[in-house]
Amino acid sequence: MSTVTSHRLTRRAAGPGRRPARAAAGTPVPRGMRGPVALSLLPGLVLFGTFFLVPFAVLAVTAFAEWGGLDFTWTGAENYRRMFTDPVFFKAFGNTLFYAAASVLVQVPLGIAVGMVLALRPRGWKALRTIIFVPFVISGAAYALIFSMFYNPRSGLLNNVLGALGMPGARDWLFETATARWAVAGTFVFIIGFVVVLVMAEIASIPRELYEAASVDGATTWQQLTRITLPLLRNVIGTAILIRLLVDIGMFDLVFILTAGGPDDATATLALYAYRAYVAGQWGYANAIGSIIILIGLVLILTVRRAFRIGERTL
Amino acid sequence: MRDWHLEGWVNADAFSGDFQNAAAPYLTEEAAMVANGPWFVSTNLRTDAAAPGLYEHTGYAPAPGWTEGERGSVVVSGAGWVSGAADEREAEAVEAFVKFMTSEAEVLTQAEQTGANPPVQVAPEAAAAADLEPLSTGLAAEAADLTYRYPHARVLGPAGLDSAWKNLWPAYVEGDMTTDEFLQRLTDDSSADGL
Repeated sequence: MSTVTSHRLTRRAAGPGRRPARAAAGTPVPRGMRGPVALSLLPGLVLFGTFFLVPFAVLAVTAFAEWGGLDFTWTGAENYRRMFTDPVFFKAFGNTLFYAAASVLVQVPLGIAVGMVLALRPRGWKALRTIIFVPFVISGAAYALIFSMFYNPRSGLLNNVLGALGMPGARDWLFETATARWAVAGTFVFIIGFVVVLVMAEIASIPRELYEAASVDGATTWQQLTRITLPLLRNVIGTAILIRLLVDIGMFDLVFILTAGGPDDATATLALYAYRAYVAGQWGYANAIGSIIILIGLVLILTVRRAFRIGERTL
Repeated sequence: MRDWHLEGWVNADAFSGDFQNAAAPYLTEEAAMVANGPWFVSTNLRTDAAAPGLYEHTGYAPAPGWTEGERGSVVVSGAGWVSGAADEREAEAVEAFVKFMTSEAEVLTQAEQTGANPPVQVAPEAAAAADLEPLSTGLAAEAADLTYRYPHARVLGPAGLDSAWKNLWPAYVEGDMTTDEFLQRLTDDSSADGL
């Protein structure tokens, strides 16, 4: 049996009539169309400027000031100096990384595996796909409330099931320092619907001839999954990881409703900590924390895009 | 209060500070006591959510927990109004509105309908003639002789107190910090001076 490798697929995909590896950049706009094109872009640019650039500029500038809405005093890098000596900031930073890592290490691999299996269209795959996707469309607040009941030490499903199985000692999962962070992560790491749908859509776009050729070559289903499907999912895996990371570094509503960041900041995130600063009237400090979140986001975008060569196609 | 937790005198889910965690066990007669105000009567105790006959079995008492024999209460203010009237005509209207809302007849009507106490002092005979909630009026009368009366922190305290309490209280009860550390951090985290 000959081996179907991703290398071969790449070479074959680069042949005549195939899409080029990189899209052509900077296609010039015809001279007569420049006015209409500029006009059509204007509403988008105004909205982008109003709702992104201006708030971003305000955040970047006020991060260097002591500001509570009324009094405004330039303090230079004082907010950043304070941040880097603030133990709660580092706790929140560590928790944010923990949640992001939990997503990437559990949610993404699990979503890919389930997506690949469902793409084989086993019996009931449509119903399964719908069931798996439902948690993704529930609002974050409602979702958090469901899990606050699930973890309730007195009446929650978890403790009742554990009790029925004979496991001793009902725990207050969300409010014990040892379990709180894991309990919060447990609420979202199994929400795989988004990754599953992304993976299934990408698999549907893979030409069937590849599988037919592999089948003729004697490749098993497992080999087709691991040597055709998985390598061609590189783009979508990178996209799923990137989206999850960006969602997780801004995580707020889930933690705020479940634990308010407690106990003793064991579950606090950077976004929640920035919110606390805002509520305390320390808008400058809140914006300094916000600027760090943006910076982390930019680093993640660049790193993940480069690592997974998102946007480049080999087929 | 920490001892109440450690010795199991409060619900296991009391840490979250969520209202329903306190209300539900009382309304289903699983808990013997709930700390709440007179509004609880009409919004919960006299609704279908309460166990049959629970209202008739309910009494009241000022909060214990201080030195032997001393008791206290936490006072929650009702809604208020702030006027932004700038001209004389509007200011006259605001004055008339506030006088109406605080008139004896109106505060008694509100008290009858909400189950809360009148927010301003009324003549004893008018209060006696009104159909006021006995659990509420009795507690209000008893409150006059209490050793301690505190304003409710959620109403008059710093904005961040709720989330600071929820964050720190479980850790304090678990013994992760001393009483002094807890109180200092609660002060710092809930005020505008700290987080």
